[in-house]
Amino acid sequence: MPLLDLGYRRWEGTRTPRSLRWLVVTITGALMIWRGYWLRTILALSLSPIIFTVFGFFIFEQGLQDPESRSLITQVVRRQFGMDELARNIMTNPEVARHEVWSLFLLNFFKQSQVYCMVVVLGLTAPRLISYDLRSRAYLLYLSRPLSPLEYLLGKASVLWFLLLAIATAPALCVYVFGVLISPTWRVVFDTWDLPLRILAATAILALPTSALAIFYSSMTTESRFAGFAWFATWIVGWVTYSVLTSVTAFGNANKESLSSQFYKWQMLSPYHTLGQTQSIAFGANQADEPYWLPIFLCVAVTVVGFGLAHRRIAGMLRA
Amino acid sequence: MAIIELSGLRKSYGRNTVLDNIDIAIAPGITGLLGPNGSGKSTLIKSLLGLVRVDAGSGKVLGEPWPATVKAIRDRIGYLPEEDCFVAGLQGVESVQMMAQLSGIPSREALRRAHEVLDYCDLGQERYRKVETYSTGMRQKLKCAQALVHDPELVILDEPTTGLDPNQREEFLQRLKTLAIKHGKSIMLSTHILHDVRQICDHVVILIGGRIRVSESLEKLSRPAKPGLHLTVVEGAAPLVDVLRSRSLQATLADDGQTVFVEGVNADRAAELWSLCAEHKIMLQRLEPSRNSLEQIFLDAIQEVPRAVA
Repeated sequence: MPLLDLGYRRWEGTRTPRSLRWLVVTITGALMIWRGYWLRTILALSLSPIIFTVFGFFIFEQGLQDPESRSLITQVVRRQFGMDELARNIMTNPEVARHEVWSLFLLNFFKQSQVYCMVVVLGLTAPRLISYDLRSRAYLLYLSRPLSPLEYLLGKASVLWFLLLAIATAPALCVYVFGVLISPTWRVVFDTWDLPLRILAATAILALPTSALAIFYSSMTTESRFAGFAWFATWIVGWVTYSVLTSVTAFGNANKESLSSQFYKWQMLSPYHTLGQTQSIAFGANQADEPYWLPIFLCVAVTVVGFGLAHRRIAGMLRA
Repeated sequence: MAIIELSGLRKSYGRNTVLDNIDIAIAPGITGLLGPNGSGKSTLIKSLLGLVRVDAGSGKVLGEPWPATVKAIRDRIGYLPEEDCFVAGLQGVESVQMMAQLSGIPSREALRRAHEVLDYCDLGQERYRKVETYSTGMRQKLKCAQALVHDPELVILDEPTTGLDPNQREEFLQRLKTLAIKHGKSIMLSTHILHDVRQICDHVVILIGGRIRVSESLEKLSRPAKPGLHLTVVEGAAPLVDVLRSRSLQATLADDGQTVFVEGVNADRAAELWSLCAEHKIMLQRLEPSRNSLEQIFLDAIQEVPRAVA
């Protein structure tokens, strides 16, 4: 027998706005993910590529006064990125080249490293986001509250967006602020004001289609391992297909110009390369002769179709 | 005033009509929703909550226009689904806290409230375990807690006593009764267990083949078309029938061989029957006014037997 039993009590208070209730799904999802030791470790490791970007910013700003540093950054731009013209600009007029150099390092951060990190982090977290709810029928509990299937999906997708903000956007913006702080003059803000916006655009490109795809896979099965398998298979198969096709096309073909346009088409078969291409557009680093609409269209299509099918699936589950 | 007032409610899945032009008005109190499998009970509940989109129909739920303001309605309804459902990876108390937050209760208040309601639903220290490790009975209590945590005016329970042992079931039903009587909650109880309905419900709705066959107060339904008394005796039922017939009373012996039904006699003649038994040295074990059994009402509804209610 209890020593004290309050029994049932009424609750009277001000309720939070209905339009923000999906945030509860996000916060709960993020807290559950944060409990995983391995995932926390992977998230921390995902931040490590930012060191190279910080190094690039530092050496470039150092190079404005120190010829040795300038020579070093020129070599990096020439050898690592193969951009001879930019390397020459750095030597002749580094102040003018700043915007392009910063963009190049930030694009490299997004395109070369964070896409891999994104694949791993989303591959470990996203598959169970919805499939667990389907298996345990938790969607009935969520949707019996003032949440629509769309808000439920928004809440789940926001968990992934939060992770991507943590591993890509936040460090990129921090590096930008770092660059501004170590540059000799505050005028640099006027020269590079658009870069934070480009970082946000690159984040949207990284987050929207990938989360839509991950949510779609997760909503199609009650077994998270199947969703995880489909996710990793998509990236690996796309990558391998692109590599095979480019190798076959390049074999014995000496015409570099025709090869470039062929490769561009093959890129659309690989999610990794398509994302990279779209992020290049966001940072203004795409080749002028490449049609910019195709990768953007693919990203938009994957986003719309992915979320659309996931929504259909969740709404359909309620009829069962 | 009715808490649920719907008219022309229709829902089909393809060619299969699940709810067929339903008009229903449910008064405050405890309402039992009965019906055989596939009669549309769960679809009716899901329609009320806006979980499935109806083909036609309109009305009011808790005074709010339905289905136009279904989200506002959901804030005022607690729902215990029939299915075994839980948010995997959360502790019991976290799960109830989250459901409270989804109903708009601020985080800290939601945690306090979750503990209170879990105490009320008799879920002890298990609340700190992950919900996937719970037994069926514990999950049922947890579902009940999440249905009550936001202090809803109407609680809809779909097969709530499934998985509870007899003791827990009785406690659970008492809890529902307390909620209705002491705290003014309206409760809609969808179940197959007629005993549960008989024990706590004020009103009964019987749904057969997507149509409302019966919607009446239990008190009114239980009243037989003709009055009568049931006399249960220890022994000597057959002689009692002869005695009663000799006094021009319509007496019949029931199949159990111990109960005699005396038709057309009110409770005010109970003393007369009592002394008649004493006179013939027949030991009377039980004497009660005749009532329609819920089982019979349910079977009649299934077989489309028209009811004559007194």
